[in-house]
Amino acid sequence: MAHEAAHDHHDDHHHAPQGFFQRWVMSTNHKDIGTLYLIFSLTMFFIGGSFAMVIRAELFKPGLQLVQPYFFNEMTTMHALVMIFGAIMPSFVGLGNWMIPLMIGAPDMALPRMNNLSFWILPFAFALLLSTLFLPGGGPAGGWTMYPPLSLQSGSLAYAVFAIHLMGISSIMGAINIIATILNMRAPGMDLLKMPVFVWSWLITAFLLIAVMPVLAGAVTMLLTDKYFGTSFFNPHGGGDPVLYQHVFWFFGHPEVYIMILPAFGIISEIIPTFARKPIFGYRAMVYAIACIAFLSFIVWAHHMFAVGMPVGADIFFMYATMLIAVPTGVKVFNWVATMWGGSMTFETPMLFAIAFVILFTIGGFSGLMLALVPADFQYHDTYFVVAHFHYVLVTGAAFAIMAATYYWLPKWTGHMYSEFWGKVHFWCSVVFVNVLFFPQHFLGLAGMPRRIPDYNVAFADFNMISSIGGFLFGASQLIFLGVIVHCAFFSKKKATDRVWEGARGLEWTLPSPPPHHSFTVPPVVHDEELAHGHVSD
Amino acid sequence: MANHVADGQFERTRRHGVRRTVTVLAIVVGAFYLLSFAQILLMK
Repeated sequence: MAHEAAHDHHDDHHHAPQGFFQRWVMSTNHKDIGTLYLIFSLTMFFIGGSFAMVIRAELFKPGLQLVQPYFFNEMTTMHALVMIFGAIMPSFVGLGNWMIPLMIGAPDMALPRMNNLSFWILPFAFALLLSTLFLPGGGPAGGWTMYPPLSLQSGSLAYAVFAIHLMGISSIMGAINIIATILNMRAPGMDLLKMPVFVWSWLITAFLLIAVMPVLAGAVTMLLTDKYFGTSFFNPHGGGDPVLYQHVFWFFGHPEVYIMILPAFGIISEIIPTFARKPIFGYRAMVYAIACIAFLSFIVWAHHMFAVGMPVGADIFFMYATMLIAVPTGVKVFNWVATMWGGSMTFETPMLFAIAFVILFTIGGFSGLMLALVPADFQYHDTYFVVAHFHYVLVTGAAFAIMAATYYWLPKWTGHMYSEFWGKVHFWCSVVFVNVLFFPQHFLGLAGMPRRIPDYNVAFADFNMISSIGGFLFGASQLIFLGVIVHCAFFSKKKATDRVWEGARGLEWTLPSPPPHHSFTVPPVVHDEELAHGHVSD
Repeated sequence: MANHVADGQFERTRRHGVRRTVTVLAIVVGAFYLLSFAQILLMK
């Protein structure tokens, strides 16, 4: 990229290109591509959310009332695929695109044209995936895990597999770009152990992506060849084994969970010091804890499969390895609390979401510990307890962190302040209704209600109705979020200062709000007192 | 963009570093993709 760049004209240093097509479709600017990612992920968040509304509407009462069972299964499958690959992952890539170059003092991402390509693959991938809902045979309905032999019965498997390949290629290119940027584009003086925790969290996440997305691609390719080319990787008739698919899938799937939460850890580690007006407690411990969690994520995959009947030794290994993750995660939760301890705290919307994250994500962590216990998991497996667990991790964890990040950096991106009043309304509605939505699902699961079913025993009726009401209200609350963003971007009259937040530290806050189209064209000088975590001793 | 950085040596170091990083990572991606098949063959 740099050879060509060397011959560029010098007439567009600080201005965005004119014309919609040039600016947005042909963009190689990290800020514009970050914005595209964020708009895309917000769109997918609402599409995936609408699928969730169908699920909760059907489960409002026992019996079949709104949709056919096959369509219900399509909704559960598509909700997961859209939220994981369309909403959460691209939003973190968007945040990374926007903030990583600003945080490390780089002029742009290392590979700007690949950056453009990795974004523009995504709309086509999701158009392909969502189009399966309108095909005669229907969309994939075997769950996002696509276990054979069930998934092989779907007529649209090839569409789903190709869509997943495209998403994987996009993620891999994004990860390569982020690693190349962080390792090579840092301003002089920005040593690795001076980088903001968010940058560290993305560096480690990008390595996870590099390691596991090819494995997912391999697994779904084998599904494809089993269905269309007569191979028997997972087909017992030809000597294959369906359980092997589960091993390969979860070798990807468990690190994938951490891909969706480690950048969230980084975001929270930026926000809490700002609003506690203290450097983060235990910067190095925070970085090492993220690396430790990432390592452990590779050796715990079979805790998703206790019920398939593994040797006892394997059960015990995966149980203890899983419980071990609580240690570095506990370090992080302790350090966030210790950062707040004795700080001059104020409670603007990003901080409210960050505090809710710490509390509610920890609930998801504890229910995860319960699921890690082999004997207990035999009871909880495939029940609503699991659904409650991973929604506490992914909604009040990942999604709340993304919302916190949006409120935190929106004034920097747009140059205007959002409405603090409506931000707080959005927070309180979200935090109340998300618990009404997901907390009763713990009780449903413990009572034995299976997941992925459109109908259920009348004994589960009350908690399902409460959960559905919470779901509708949580969904409606997100329209406030949309309103706050649109107002801030287009209508807000209140200008943001460069630093935006009194306690904010880091290179990104030294730039104007909004930053110029091309920033840090000359590498900045890094001073320790400007860093979010203060001086790090050698 | 990158060509606006005043220090030429700094820029060249960056460029070589990016190339090396991308090459290594691309090889790792390919290796993991192929290993996901090999794992199946070994376990059967």
